[in-house]
Amino acid sequence: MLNVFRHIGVIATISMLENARKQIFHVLMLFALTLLACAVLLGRFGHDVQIQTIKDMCSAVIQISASLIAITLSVTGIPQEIEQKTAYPVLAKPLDRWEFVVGKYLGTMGAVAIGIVILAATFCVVLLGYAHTVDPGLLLVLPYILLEAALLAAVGLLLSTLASPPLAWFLGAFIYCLGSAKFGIYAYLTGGHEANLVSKAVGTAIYHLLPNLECFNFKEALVHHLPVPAGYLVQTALYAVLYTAAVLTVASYSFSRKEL
Amino acid sequence: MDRETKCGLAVETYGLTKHYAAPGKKAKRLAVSDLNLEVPQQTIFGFLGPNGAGKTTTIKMLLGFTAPTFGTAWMLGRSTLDCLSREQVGYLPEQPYFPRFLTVLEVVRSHGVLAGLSWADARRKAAECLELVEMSDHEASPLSKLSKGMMQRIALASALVGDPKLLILDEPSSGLDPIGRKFLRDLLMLLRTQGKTIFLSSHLLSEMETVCDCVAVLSQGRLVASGRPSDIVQSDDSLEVRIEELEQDEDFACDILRLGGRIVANDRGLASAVVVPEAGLYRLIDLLRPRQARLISVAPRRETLEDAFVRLVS
Ligand SMILES: Nc1ncnc2c1ncn2[C@@H]1O[C@H](COP(=O)(O)OP(=O)(O)OP(=O)(O)O)[C@@H](O)[C@H]1O
Ligand SMILES: [Mg+2]
Repeated sequence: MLNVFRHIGVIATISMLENARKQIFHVLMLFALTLLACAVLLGRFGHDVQIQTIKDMCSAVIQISASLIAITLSVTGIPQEIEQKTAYPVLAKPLDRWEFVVGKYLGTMGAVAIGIVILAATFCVVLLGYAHTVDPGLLLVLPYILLEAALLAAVGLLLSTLASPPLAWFLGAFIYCLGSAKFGIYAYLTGGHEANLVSKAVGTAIYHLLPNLECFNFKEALVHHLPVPAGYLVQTALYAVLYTAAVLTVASYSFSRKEL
Repeated sequence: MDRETKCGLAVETYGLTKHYAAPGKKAKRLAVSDLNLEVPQQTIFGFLGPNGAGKTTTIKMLLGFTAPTFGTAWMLGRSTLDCLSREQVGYLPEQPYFPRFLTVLEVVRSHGVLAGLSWADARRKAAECLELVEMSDHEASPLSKLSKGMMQRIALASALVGDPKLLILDEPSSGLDPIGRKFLRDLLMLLRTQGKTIFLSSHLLSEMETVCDCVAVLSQGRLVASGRPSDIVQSDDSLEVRIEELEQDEDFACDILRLGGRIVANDRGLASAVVVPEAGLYRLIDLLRPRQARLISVAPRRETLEDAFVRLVS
């Protein structure tokens, strides 16, 4: 058991360092920081809503960037290790494939967390500059951004064991979009008079299989100082953890059947 | 999936077979076919075969990278389907690659941890292994700054760091200079005296002949010969006598023929060689004396492993 933790720890550490060095990670971070700057510039137009708009847009930028980074790093992690043959010496050691998958996953999440911390720090500096105070309630949105990214990274990792990285990235981004607008699509496909059986079935399948990313989206409430019930927070966190664990289990199974 | 190892075998395979789907064709490509191997412990086992013979595929099946289509394999008494079969195994890949931003010591140490050591033990063992492969001076260099041969040594250190009982080396001498190869040869001998088993795939047959206790020759996925190197090479009882300044004439040729030998004229430079059965050596010398030919060497005529290899796979 101790060995399992050690194995995962080594793989995760190396994978995190590797991810944090990837050019694509730097490009995405630069992109996110540029977007943050744009959000700040946009927020300066109207004088009354200035701070609200900045808070709103910046947290949206952090959320979207974190999700994109999570998907991008997770779909390339394992395929790159196999292509560059760095996975072989590791997999020849007495460890199960699932340990490798979990290690790679945690390494990816480490890099995503670094990204979120950098973006959040920038966000805090902006808030301090404009509002001279950082609302601690607003920071509650950050762990949920991390949880959403964690869920998406697991999905990306699963896809990377099934498809080539570009296809996996595309599918991951697609799932991200669908998951963020799930209720709308469900209502559209199953509601209305002309809804037939097929669209109903598709709607239901989407509803039950896709991750529900809308539940992470309570930043508006926080920005506008509306109360978010604690039960909702716990439930959402639990949902994220369970969904992630389930997807990682499937990813481990899929990877352990792969021919290297 | 433990079981009694048959009289201390390090590697056993029974009917091991691997099909790959051939691209564009219905027929499958047979990479390894019905391979039965038994590698005793504490030996150096040479796994030979031309390019594409299936050596790497066999090693991949042993290490669980690909599943055999048919057959079973065991390492140190454990089925290779069980990841714990690799507990006592060190592996040197055909082309070793590690994350290039790590330093030499970090790579070897992380492999120590992956092999089951604690962080502190791994640090100590890593330093020891780097010393063994003569790379101690480069401990702190990042891998991106190393040459190919140095990388090979690092890979060897990473394979050795967990103190494995069985070492599986896929072409370990590729990329090494002649001094490096000699060093590797000596290292393998040393490891064998420490009780390790070495499963070695290589193309360098003259080297294999000197280090291996047993060899198996694979051709197109099939085992074509196995045994001690001396069992595989064919030898007859004849001697090769090399002679310089030999004036050949009809009489001499007839006499040699009568001895049951033959003349290989001018095979190297001015020398000729005469092949005669062992019993005819002194008669040959008697024939040479009046002709004042200069006798250079007498050696038993034996195939080299390389000759045997070419004979077996062609
Ligand atoms: N992943 C794969 N997919 C399809 N065919 C493969 C694959 N890997 C190997 N082969 C085929 O299997 C056969 C054996 O290959 P293998 O790599 O085991 O040879 P080898 O004996 O190691 O050769 P070499 O001395 O060149 O390293 C070859 O015909 C090769 O084309
Ligand atoms: Mg090979």
